[in-house]
Amino acid sequence: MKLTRILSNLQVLKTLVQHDIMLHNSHLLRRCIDTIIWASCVTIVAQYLLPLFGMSHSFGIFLVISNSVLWGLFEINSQLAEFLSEIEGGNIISYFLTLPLPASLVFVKYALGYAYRSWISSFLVLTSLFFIQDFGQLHLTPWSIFSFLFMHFLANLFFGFFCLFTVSLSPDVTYTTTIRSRVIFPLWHLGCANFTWLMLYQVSPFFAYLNLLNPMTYLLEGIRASILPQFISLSYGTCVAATIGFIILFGYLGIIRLKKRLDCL
Amino acid sequence: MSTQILLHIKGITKTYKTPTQTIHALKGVNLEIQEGEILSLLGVNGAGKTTLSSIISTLNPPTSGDILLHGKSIYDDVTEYRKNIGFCPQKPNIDGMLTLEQNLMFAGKYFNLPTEVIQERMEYLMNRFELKKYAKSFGSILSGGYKQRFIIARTLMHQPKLVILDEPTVGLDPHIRRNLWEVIKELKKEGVTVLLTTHYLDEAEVLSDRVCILDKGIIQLIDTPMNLKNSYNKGNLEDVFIQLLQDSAKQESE
Repeated sequence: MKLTRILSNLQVLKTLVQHDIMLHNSHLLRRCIDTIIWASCVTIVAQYLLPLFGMSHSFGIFLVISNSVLWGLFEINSQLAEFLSEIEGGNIISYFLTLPLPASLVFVKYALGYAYRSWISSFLVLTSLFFIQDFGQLHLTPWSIFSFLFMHFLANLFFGFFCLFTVSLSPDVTYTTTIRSRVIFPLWHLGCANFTWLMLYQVSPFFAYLNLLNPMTYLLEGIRASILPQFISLSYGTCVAATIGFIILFGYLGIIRLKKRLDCL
Repeated sequence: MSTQILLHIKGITKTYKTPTQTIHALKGVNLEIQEGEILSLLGVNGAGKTTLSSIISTLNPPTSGDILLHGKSIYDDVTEYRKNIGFCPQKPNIDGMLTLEQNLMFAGKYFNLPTEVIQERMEYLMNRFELKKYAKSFGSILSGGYKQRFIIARTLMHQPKLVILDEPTVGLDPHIRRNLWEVIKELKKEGVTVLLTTHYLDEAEVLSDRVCILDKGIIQLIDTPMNLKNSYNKGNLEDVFIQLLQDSAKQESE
């Protein structure tokens, strides 16, 4: 009986996620163009212009691989605004919350939908690799490619659930800029996007240990550990475990807070 | 009219706490909804109509009390209960980025209906609500009346036993209102139980088997429109309602 109910709930959740994927896919071409422009700009500057200031040539590929994850973090802001206007306006979410599945799974559907959106978009960032001629720097074995794809998937899953948490922190849609400044920007800028954890440790062990509280550290170190072994600071396994831990933590907090806020069953 | 009780609402209270005040929206509502009837919830703004219909539709939980479906608490298995109800909110919540056909298709899938049943229901509901010509149109382009019509169609997709309509005719043109009245009457003919929240007393009078008048979070009266008119010696429900409000205000001042 219990198993039947779980399966039935999962079936409804699957349909809800299919609904979101269908909606996101209808904007795919526009989003392709957005991501390619963004990634190309990053690559051109990092690979071709920064070396003129004495920066290492390998910094280009370092940034592109980091940015394949970072896109999802920046996506949170638009998803945050969308979700806030959704719950403030009492729109389609009020329909979803009366469907035959627990309210928690409705929020999981939003997280998975957002995760899919940032996953598919950030994947396109990798197309900018075509601008980089030095493919030799990438460690391309079947295992490393699998590890990279798995970490990439986990990272976007994290962004989906983290988005729920940021929504729960925002009283209304005007707070999107506050979230960007107070949450997203520090996570990004201090989170090993432009340097490795080891580099930070060499400068200040205290700040390096403090940075272990930043989920972005694991996402970025993990993605680089999979395919750019020359930049390894934290092991791939540690990064995967920590990312899963952060997904559970922020997912749980986000769902609990949103259920309370929307006064759901 | 069948006398079998579909839903038994027992001592429902709802309290909202804000940093500055505590609002008691419902103060112990007891109500029995009979199978196959149209029961209208009436009351002034803030009487607790929408709060009660949101609780019955499981959109929000009560602060205390219970609701029984055929004698069993709905809170023991909310997902199972939800398969039996269809909730049509005050504000049409269509997915504007999908076509009407896609909206209905998903509405069927959410309730795990087989594909052939979904097709059959879609065809039937599109025809019945005269939505066929908009089947391929996006929800966002529909006018208010068509949106409302569509929301009711979507509510009926999985053939619920109880349909909760929260002010379905607010802001609609008179002829569209009349059109929706016909739809509601047809639902009754099909044996569907309808809980109708409305501000319009003429609507309640024409459609309801019984009316329930809520005031300040408690039920003042439940009876048939005819009995109410007779006992208050009034020609229509609107006069009964005004009389009740006056009585209530007088009692309060005493």
